[in-house]
Amino acid sequence: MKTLDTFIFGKSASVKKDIAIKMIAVFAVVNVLVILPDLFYIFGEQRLLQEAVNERYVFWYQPVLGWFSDIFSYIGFTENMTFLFFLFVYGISLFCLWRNYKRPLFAVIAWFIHFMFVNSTYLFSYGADYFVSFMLFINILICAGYLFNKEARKPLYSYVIRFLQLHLCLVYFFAGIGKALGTDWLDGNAIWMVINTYTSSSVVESSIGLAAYPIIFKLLAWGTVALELCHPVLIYMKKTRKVTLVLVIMLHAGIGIFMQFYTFAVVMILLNLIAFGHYFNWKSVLSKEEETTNLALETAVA
Amino acid sequence: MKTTKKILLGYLAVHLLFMLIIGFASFTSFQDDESQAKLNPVGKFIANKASLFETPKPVTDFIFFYAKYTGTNRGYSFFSPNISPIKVSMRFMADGEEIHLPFKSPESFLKFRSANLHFNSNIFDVEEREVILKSISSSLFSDHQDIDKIDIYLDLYRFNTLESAATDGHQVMYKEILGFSTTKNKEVAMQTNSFKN
Repeated sequence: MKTLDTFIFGKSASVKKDIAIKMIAVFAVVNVLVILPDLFYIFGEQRLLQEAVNERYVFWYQPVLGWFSDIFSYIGFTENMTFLFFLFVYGISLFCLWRNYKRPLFAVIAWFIHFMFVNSTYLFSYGADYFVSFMLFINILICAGYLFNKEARKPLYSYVIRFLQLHLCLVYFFAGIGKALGTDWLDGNAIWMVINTYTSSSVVESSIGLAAYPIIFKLLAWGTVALELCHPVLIYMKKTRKVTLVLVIMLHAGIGIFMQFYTFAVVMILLNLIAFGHYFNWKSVLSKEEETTNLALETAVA
Repeated sequence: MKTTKKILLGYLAVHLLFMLIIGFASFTSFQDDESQAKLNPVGKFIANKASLFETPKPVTDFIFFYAKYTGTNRGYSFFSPNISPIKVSMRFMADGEEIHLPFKSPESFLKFRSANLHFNSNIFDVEEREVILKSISSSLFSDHQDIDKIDIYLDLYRFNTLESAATDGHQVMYKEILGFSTTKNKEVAMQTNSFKN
């Protein structure tokens, strides 16, 4: 029990909390900026997939923009104005997170608005959007530490980092096991099909010659499955953790560059850096702390 | 304090348990005969045992409620168990001219692609198909006031397997299908003859 306690609450080094929150805030801003020219075609009155489409997929308990645009219409707000209002509040919340102003409150507001945006565009939302939602949820847990005194913040932050680490282990494990169920990832066909169906014509052109050497595709496929499946073990073993982290980052960088899943790639790299970035000794972003004792949290909560 | 720690540890355990249930239960979708044919022996075994992770409906509902609020409801079986050799994209035409989607950012096109994938997998669900097509067309009609009818083509590409490409070279089968037509009064007609070709 003591080992578990030390593992969860007594983490000795991690990326600084302030830097983690700022990275999340900056990414959330960039996440909006990359679709800025098209915002009204995704969320506004001119949107391609209107409420009649969206309401088929969301449950009654999932907040959507429509809830508020109906209310705001009583004060003369159009749908676009309601959307812009929430976008403005979202921006303010991220700014406050950056400026360390009432972080717990603005972490909740930022998460809620993003969650509402995702629910309002169900068919337009893909894996990356859900990971951004999850990242903003983790941000709430990180910022919740500010509600406690300084002594308690270290073990609480340690808890959140372990929470994120263990969650990522399950993410990669299920990504790996899913691939291991089929045949395409065993015979290398998966990489070939990913190149054909998800990458640009120039990548396809340059890969055609390699088809004569199927072993290349097999090694890439096997490597991906092995990395994901064994991630929960490799990321914690002292001898393999650094190389595992580098390989995971390379995997996501590859997905970003070749498959053009930029948001997905960046959010996954960011989550990995917050969770495991301390494996690399970047002094400016690491907070080396003495192992916290159970007493710290005990004193604070009492 | 001990109580707080216990609560936090309990919450962590519940979160991880929910993720395990969502992860394994998602494999039950591979239990039908068509999916089983595409699985390896280990895959068939796991897919058939995945039912062990199914929970009673109220529990499932609660798990998904929690998962939706934390952004973890969609599971993590990316690009698995296999990758489709077929790529289908929608193309909108009016009076012989292509009507381009109004998006400018690559990320928006990626979002549309996600919707397109959903559309393709539910293409034979008439109600689902019509509500999506009506919505897209309505937006395009309001951007292009001068057109009355939009033809929706499906560009279908089928790629040969790696094994086949290694011996016969890279081959792509392309088929243009006039799938549907929409008019300004939001009628959607399925081009059945074209579809069967």
